[in-house]
Amino acid sequence: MIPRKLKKNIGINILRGAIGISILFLGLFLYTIFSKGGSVLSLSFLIEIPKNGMTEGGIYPAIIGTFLLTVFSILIAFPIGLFSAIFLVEYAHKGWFTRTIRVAIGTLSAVPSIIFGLFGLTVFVVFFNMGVSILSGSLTLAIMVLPYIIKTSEEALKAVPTSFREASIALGATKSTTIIRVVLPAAIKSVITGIIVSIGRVAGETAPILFTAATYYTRELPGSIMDEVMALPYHIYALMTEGTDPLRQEAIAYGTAIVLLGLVLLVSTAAIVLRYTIRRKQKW
Amino acid sequence: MVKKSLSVKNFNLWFADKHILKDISFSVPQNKVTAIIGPSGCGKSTLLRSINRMNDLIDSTKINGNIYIDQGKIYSDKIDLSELRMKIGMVFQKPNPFPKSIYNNVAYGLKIKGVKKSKIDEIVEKSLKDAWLWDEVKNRMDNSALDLSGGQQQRLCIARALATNPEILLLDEPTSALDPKSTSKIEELVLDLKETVTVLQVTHNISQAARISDFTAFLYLGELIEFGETERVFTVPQDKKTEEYIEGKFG
Amino acid sequence: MKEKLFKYTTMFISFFSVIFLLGIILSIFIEGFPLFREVNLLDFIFGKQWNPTHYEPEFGILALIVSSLIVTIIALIVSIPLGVGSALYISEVTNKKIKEILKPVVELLAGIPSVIYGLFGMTVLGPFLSNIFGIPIGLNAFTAGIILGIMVIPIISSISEDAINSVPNSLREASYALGANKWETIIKVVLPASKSGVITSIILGFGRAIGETMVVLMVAGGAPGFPKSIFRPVRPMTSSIAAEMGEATIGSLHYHALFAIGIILFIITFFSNLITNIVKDRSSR
Repeated sequence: MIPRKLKKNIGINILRGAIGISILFLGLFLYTIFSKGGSVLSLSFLIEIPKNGMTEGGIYPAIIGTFLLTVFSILIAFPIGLFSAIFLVEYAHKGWFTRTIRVAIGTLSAVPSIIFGLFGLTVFVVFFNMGVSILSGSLTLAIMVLPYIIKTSEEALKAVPTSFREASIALGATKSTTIIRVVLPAAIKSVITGIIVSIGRVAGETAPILFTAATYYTRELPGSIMDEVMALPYHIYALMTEGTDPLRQEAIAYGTAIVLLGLVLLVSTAAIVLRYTIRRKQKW
Repeated sequence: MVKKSLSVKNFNLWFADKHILKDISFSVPQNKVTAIIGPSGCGKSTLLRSINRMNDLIDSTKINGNIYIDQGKIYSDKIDLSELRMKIGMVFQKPNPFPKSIYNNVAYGLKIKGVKKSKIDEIVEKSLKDAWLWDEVKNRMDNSALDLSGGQQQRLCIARALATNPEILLLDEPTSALDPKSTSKIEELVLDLKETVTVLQVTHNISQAARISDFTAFLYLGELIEFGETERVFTVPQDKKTEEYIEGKFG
Repeated sequence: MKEKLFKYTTMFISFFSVIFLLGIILSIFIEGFPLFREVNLLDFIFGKQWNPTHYEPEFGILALIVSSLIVTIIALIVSIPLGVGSALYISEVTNKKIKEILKPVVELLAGIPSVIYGLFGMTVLGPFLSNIFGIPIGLNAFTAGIILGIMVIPIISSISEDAINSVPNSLREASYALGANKWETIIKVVLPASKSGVITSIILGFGRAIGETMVVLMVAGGAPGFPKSIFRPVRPMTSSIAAEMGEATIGSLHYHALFAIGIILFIITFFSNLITNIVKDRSSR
């Protein structure tokens, strides 16, 4: 019979172990990435194009490619997401229409990323004849990140107290004016936090762009949105699977991973800081 | 004969199947303070919100009868809701200034009407003066309204409501969330305001009603039990229920 | 009227989500169905040979389905104890200050792109496990399952944590008042009370793991045959689609077959999501 107190201590330590292992892994992970990729990191790595069959040089085109894909997809997804959230929070009532929309959003958020890739391939690349391009990739990524933007925008709008809306209506403002002049300004910081996190999510996705936008190597930077691009996550994958010089390319892959991770870290930190300042400074 | 600014005629209201307001009829005299008193849940706030049609915001509302102001029936398709709510101002139980600057709070109603900037400045100052808040905030108009104390915020809300030049001011238990000092300040303010607007104030505080109102309406379980000059209602109530409520036998 | 315009615009735009979802479903079904003119559905699902590029191609995906399941199950074995354990630790054991640090850390783990997990698995864990266990190929179902599991920990952890947090304090107080200690309260009161939320998180973890592409593409080995042990390279459904789409000509039977895999994958994740919603609805009653 193990005494209760001992059980408790063992138990708590098991829990401690659980989080400990998780954190340990994170540490090991980050350490590996930085140590294996640190050797290639330099300013020229960031601003040069790859040379010598991808065994030397930099990853500049991939950085540009990821940047463009991210910007365009968020530009597309943000207004759709925000307006959808406005409808759901401010106008929707309990009918079949609202329920259908909610089911659709929930289902979309559970679709595996490779399925988005298939969808993008057959619809944008083939059917609409956009080819493998920034446009196809951005559209695909936009639809993929849409449910997340809707969810975070909804939460932001819901957090605005009803009393503000009431005060505005009582002063003679219409519902749309109230939304535009009172609710949105109050919610905007949280909405932006959601967008910032979305940037991190979009930048790191590979499967949706595998067949819709990404390529291993382009001679020049993309000239238009109809061109294909290199992208950071895809570059990592391609280096490791299509590469000719595994030793050198592993280091480059890790270097690319550092850049990508750096972006994700930047974005996460920004979000955390924003959330913190919102909680602190928000007087309601 | 005191001019009537507002008349309620056979007014009934349901929220879904619940009959909240039952055949209410009375007239609110102009430039006087009319108090609406009654135990919790008797429909006082609902009645107040019917006057500026705030209840329209709730889906399941059904009404019967009507409310009349100078311009005619309030419940009519011909009424512009926005105009109506600018003519009838409302201040809520818990002060609810916008998370904007003091200036922008008061200016809100004017901005949405498209009033010129120079005129706005003028009206904002006047409204804050009328609400007895100007001296306290004139040097920090750009500061957040949420930095003000509870009593100041409520006076700000009054100023904000006054800015649209309403004829009628609806106050929904405006002092119940405030400390005694702020409460008395606002009570004095109300007495001052009645010179220019008609005040209809819901209060659960019987002594407050006795202190500041000219007329009193007693509501019980959705029915208007008694209405008359405050002094009379409080000294010689005509209905037994009124008497019991005033004496504090229930509440 | 401006009001109606605004309202109907938001209404119209929010319908896009439905359109997009229908678009996804339609496109994979339209592109996947042509396969079934040539191959019987049951043969497709239960066929053991996946040889799309042979002279006489065979399109049986049982091996692929089983591979997906094996990798996912290993992932769940890793992530459930670590995820739920972490969630319990963060909610019940730590104080506010440490919580503020731990929560962002878990979130960070969640934000790491899957391809980087794949890179790590491929270059570090694979060789490491190969050395330790003496297995010939480090890139196999086991390694992939472990990496996948670690990737899924934050999902299980954060959703379980939400569920654990919403257990009313009054229950904990009642437990302590009866003389139970912290561990007993956690195991006998808090965890059972948050059961449905924890189960939801696990199902979500399942959906995420089975739908993951890059990790299995880079770490699971890539051999599309029937796995004889978990230490053998495998090719789950997702990585099959990803790996072979590059070679398949658009419109060919192989192309349609890959979409058909997509249909099966979509159906699996759709039902897993459906179950999540049912569990959630039941718990809120």
